[in-house]
Amino acid sequence: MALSKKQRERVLEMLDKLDKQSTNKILASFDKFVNWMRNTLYDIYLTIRDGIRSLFNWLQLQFS
Amino acid sequence: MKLIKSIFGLEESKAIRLVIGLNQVDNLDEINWDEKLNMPSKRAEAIIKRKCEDIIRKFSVACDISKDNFEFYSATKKYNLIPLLTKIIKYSEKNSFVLGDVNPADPFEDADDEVKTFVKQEREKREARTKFPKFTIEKFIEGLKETLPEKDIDRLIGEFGDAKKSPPKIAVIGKTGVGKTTTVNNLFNAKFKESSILVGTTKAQEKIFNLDSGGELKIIDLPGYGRSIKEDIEYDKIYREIIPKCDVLLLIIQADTRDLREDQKMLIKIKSWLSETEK
Repeated sequence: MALSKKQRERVLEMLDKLDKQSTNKILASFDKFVNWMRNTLYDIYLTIRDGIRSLFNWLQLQFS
Repeated sequence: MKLIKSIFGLEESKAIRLVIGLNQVDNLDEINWDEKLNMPSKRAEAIIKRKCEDIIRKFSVACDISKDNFEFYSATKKYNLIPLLTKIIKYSEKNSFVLGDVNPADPFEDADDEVKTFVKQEREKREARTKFPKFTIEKFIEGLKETLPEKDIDRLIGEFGDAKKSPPKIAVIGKTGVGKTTTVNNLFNAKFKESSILVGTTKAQEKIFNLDSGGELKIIDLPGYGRSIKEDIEYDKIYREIIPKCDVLLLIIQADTRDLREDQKMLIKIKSWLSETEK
């Protein structure tokens, strides 16, 4: 039996949700990476700190 | 905003290395699971959320634990696994960023063929529409080549490589038959590599898995509680020895059970064991 309009909409909703969830996972991982870098390579972290801020803001915009 | 604050050191993340997964939400009363789509109906999803919030509230009050440490899912239906993995990344103590590349099992794998075809087409369309390449930490490091001197890049790549080689040690605990194995298999989409018995016990096993994204994952499979008082006393010694040493603990609770007392008692004990090694 063919997919009904309602079922298609529900699948699309779930796909949107999965995309959003994947984004949150990537951002959580990046957050942990930056924390790791701050703890392990503090001098490098200081050099790129401002860049990371811009990058993170940019990433949030792309994924929002 | 919270994430941004934590990145810049303005707010330290909560120290407790614990994620509590409410499994088998598809078995909750009144749940209408759409087998063709392999997902709950919209109404069922709202019921799942409400019922899980009730359970979480009971645990929060009885065990003084943040609601944020909880996530609901269904391992067998592959439902809501990404948020569970995200929490594990968030609450683990070290190097959990390696799990950012891990993709849990896709719920649509178990949907009707017609649904699978529709999903495949839709995903291809979405991919073609995406203007930006997928963000990865490797790409980020690559991008830093324009900003950092070569020696710093080499150091960063070296340290990052070493960090990736020591993945987080994740211990998994729950009542007997709560779905620990299915959770591990579907959550990490991992392939079993080898198993070894941990020193001092024949009941807890350290299992090493190969990840699709490369690298390895260490899971400590703890014996299930709740079978008998005698076994529980014996297992408490094992838990007490192993739990403080893990990077993150995943406690799995059956969402469709009415008797939560045993799990609540266990959670209180776990909190005290974990706090022994908190900084």
